[in-house]
Amino acid sequence: MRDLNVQISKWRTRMAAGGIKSAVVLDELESHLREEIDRQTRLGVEESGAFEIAAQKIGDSELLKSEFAKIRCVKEVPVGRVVGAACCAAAALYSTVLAPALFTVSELSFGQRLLGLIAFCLTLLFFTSLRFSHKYLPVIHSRRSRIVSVSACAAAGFIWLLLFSNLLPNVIVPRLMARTAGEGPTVKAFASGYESRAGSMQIHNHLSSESRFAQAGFTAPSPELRAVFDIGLSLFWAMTFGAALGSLAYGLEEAAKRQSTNRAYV
Amino acid sequence: MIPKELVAASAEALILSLLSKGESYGYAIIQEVRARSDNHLQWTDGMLYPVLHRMEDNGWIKSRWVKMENGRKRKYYSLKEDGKTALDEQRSQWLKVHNVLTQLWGEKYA
Repeated sequence: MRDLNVQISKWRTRMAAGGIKSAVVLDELESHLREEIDRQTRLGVEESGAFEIAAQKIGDSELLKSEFAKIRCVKEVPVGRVVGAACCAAAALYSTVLAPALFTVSELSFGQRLLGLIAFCLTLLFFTSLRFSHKYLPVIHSRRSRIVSVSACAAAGFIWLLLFSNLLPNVIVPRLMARTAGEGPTVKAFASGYESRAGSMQIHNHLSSESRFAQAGFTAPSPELRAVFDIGLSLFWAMTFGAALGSLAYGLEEAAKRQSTNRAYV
Repeated sequence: MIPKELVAASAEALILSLLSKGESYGYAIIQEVRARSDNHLQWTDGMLYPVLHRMEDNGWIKSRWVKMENGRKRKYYSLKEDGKTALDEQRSQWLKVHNVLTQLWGEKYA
């Protein structure tokens, strides 16, 4: 029995050297090994031979390692799924909090409302797509390629946030402020620039901006307020882009996980 | 002997079906499958465990260590609710394959 314990101890060391490092897995395999040794012994095989048969039946550590690695591979990169889902959820939540303003703020033009609604709907679509995006995304079998892809999504998101957080105070807000300051108390630019950007309110081009507002049923907003609207809209679109990247990162990981789940290992 | 690809494809369905009858541990699962298939369905023993661990990761089964009277430990696996759902799905899929094959082969093999 002492010799058997020594043999089993050496076998564990070999398995660990072969790549099966988890003590829990080794304990479970050892439990199996001992059961088989018992069975072989009951069949009349002497102890040392029984050990050899049992060890052989359990299999080579390299093969086992590669099978366990497939599970670890999926386990090791949950970051993409967690970060992706978190991005989507945060973007959807933020957009949902902002969304009522699209309907309640009377000074918003039709174009602004439309742009905001499109961004909001897209964000919600990306959030909902967490449940099904994996069906339409390619399965990246290589762990390295998958990490690169998910990291690229994360990096793009990060760069976008950096860019946006720099653009917002340094470019977007000053430009909007400069524009509104140049207009004075009137709202000329709003009619020419704003509505043409929205692309849906150009039917009043021949009218003065004030009468355009009156005809469209708007209360003309102050230049400062319009700048705030612009910032709000750009935030909506920033959320949409973040949600898209989050959904992509999550979908790639989920597609790989599901493929791995459906693959048989025996 | 059944080829290893088919053994691999049926592994989850077999494990889920066995565990639906009560909790069990790796060695017993292998022995039971071997016995029920008249030794035609054989796993490489160690390769069962990655499958069990993956199924546990999926939330289909759960495990617990039990200390035996002789001082040894066994890791028992049992089915969770998600595992029952997975079993229903897999049973339905296997029955569809079975139905097609028996239709094609005729009553003699039904």
